[in-house]
Amino acid sequence: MSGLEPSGPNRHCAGILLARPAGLPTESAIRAQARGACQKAQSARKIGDSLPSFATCRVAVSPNARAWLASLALVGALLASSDAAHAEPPQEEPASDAARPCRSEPSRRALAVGASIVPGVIVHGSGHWVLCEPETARRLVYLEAAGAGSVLLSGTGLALTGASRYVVAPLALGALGGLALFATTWLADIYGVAAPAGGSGQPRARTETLILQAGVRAVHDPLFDTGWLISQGLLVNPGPLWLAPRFDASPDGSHVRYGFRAGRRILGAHLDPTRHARWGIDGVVGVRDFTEQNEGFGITTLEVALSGRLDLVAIGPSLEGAFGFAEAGYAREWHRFDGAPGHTWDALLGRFGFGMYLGHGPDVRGETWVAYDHRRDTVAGGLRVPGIPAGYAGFLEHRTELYFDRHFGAALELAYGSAAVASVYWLVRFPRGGW
Amino acid sequence: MIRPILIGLALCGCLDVAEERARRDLTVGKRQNDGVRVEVEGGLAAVRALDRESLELWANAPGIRAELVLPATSPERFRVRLRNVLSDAVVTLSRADGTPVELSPIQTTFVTERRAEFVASGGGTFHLTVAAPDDAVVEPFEFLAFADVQDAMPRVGDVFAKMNLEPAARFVVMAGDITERGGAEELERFQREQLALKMPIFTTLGNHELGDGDVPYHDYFGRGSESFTFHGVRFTLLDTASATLDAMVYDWLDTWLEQGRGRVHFVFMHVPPMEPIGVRNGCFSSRAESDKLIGRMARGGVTAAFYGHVHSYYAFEHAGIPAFISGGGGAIPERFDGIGRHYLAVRVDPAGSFETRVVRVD
Repeated sequence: MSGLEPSGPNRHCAGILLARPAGLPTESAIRAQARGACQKAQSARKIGDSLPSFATCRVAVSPNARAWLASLALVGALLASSDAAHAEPPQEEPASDAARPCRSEPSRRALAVGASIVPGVIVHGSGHWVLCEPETARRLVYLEAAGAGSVLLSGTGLALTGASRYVVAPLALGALGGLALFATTWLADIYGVAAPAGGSGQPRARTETLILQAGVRAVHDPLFDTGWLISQGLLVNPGPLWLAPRFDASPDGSHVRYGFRAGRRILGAHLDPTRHARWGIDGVVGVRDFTEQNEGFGITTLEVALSGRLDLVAIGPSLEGAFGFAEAGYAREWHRFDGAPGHTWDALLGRFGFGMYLGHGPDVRGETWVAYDHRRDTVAGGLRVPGIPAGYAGFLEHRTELYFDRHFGAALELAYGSAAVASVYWLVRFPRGGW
Repeated sequence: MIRPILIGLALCGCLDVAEERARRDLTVGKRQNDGVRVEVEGGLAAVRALDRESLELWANAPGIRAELVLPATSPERFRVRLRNVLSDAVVTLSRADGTPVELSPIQTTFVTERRAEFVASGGGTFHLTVAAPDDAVVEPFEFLAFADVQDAMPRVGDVFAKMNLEPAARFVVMAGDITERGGAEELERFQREQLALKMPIFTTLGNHELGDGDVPYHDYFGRGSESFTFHGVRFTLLDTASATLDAMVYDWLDTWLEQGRGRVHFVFMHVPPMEPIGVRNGCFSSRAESDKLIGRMARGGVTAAFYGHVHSYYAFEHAGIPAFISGGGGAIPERFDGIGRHYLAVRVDPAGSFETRVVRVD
């Protein structure tokens, strides 16, 4: 379901699909508070001040609202930085990083790329530090520390409570959010020192009204003879709602999946669904159904989620063209069996990824991303991790899509979990303003 | 073109994480050494030692049958040591033509062990049987179930002491996570601790037995996936330590389900295909595979399923099959559940009914 959903930065729409909890301030109030706090941070012009100002943006929100938002660790953390740096990114960056004095030295650049990997895998921001961009480096390492701290705290909580049924969901989300920050900041460090000036690409300023996707998916699953799937999907984005139906089926009809997701922006840099927004959180509801005739079972799922994304230029100017995204939610499942009674079940939804825009031209644009998805009910299932941690991981996925002109493009998707899945799609888009 | 690439990637990766252990199962109970060969029917015992003078088996079922082939140059006396057997187990030996062979018992300290020797001069093929006299009698009986000892091994004696107070229990079925890391030293330690128990433990392995790169489990306890019958009730143990079941084991399961059709049939495994707290997902890696296994068990007429992995107690149903998670062997407990260390006592009537009782240890 990921391909035509608004994980890509130029596909987010506005709206409210989740009830606002009692005590949660209005969106305009949150934004006003955030703006005020962040203006103070701008005037400080010191990263040590501006990063705490992110916290200020959050502290300004009522305790209930913070508790609600805190459940989305990644989204919250990234948005905190977004608020501080995003309203007018070029002006917010400290002068030292904006000047980027070492980028013109090829040897320094090569050293920075190396440093972003080792010791960058441990100390995120190492690449930017070598490239004389300490402000971005510090932001990355602070966010990494926040992520590592979240993983540590959540992991400790899980261990101490024996993954108690009463606390496992928020603790698992905390761990996933921490992992998201950890992974995103590392990839961002590598990207920031390796990407060309201006980044790998830019998002389109206006989102598409309609995108059609059709293709085939090759599946290797040791336990299911799925083989090939014919896949069709579309994204309708008239605003303020976006709708994303999808259909996957094997040629013999033994494996059939339907899906439908709808979303609406509930928080964001702006709520106009027809324009690209540099950050936003959508409320999402979805339904999907899966039938495996050869094994005689099926699953129907209802889900609600918050789905957010952020253009990472909010962290530093070198990250122009990169983005991160995350989703958290809950799913209720109805399992049915041929010749036996069914049962219900539930699932925690969590997903995060890092991507980059491709292309700067007016039409030849695209994006590529890698992600981790915690769900186990897709074609890919969950990772079969060897050893003790078996069973607790979701799957890894990648998508690259590129439009060759104003209307036509192609996409490649790879997913690896219990099954290995490779998908290729033909894309047709209908930009706003007509064909 | 794409699918061969995917298959190649899969072979390099982790899609078949349980395959090697399934293949290992096929070798359990078979060994040849120094001209002596032994094969245990169904792989229901691990061959712990075999040489020209002796055989040692670790039983993983109430009744085992083995074929023993000795060379013509065998020494006059051949000794057998049978461990982890029922307290009332009887050992019998016969030649291939059915002629009984006299066994001379050797004194042993433990009620779950039998030792004997017999005249083996001239070699030949022998059939060894170890079973309780009432093994095939279809009548009600009781067994115990537990799982997840892991790092609580120093205290597992408490559990065994409590189990010893169950007068009607014939044996224990353990759903894995015997140890913390699965190393040989830990496995041996458990078997030493187990000597305090007055009944055998038949077990499969859990994810914690996979902690060391090498998995010596099969050398000590036997197969991870197996099936046996006692008092007309079918017991099937499945190796789901990797939160999946190997494709080969699904084929075996189909056979065992067919053999158990019309009988009371209990299935045991460590990682459950489904657990009640779905947001925790202490279960299979793939929900589709969960349903594949649960659907097969339901259509195969499984009476009840017993799981470990989650360190608490849950009773629930999936696809109409009563299911129990009993991970109370002592590993880090799930907090706030009011359960703690425990095991299940299961009273079963082969006519088609059973009842469970949670027994708290602390």
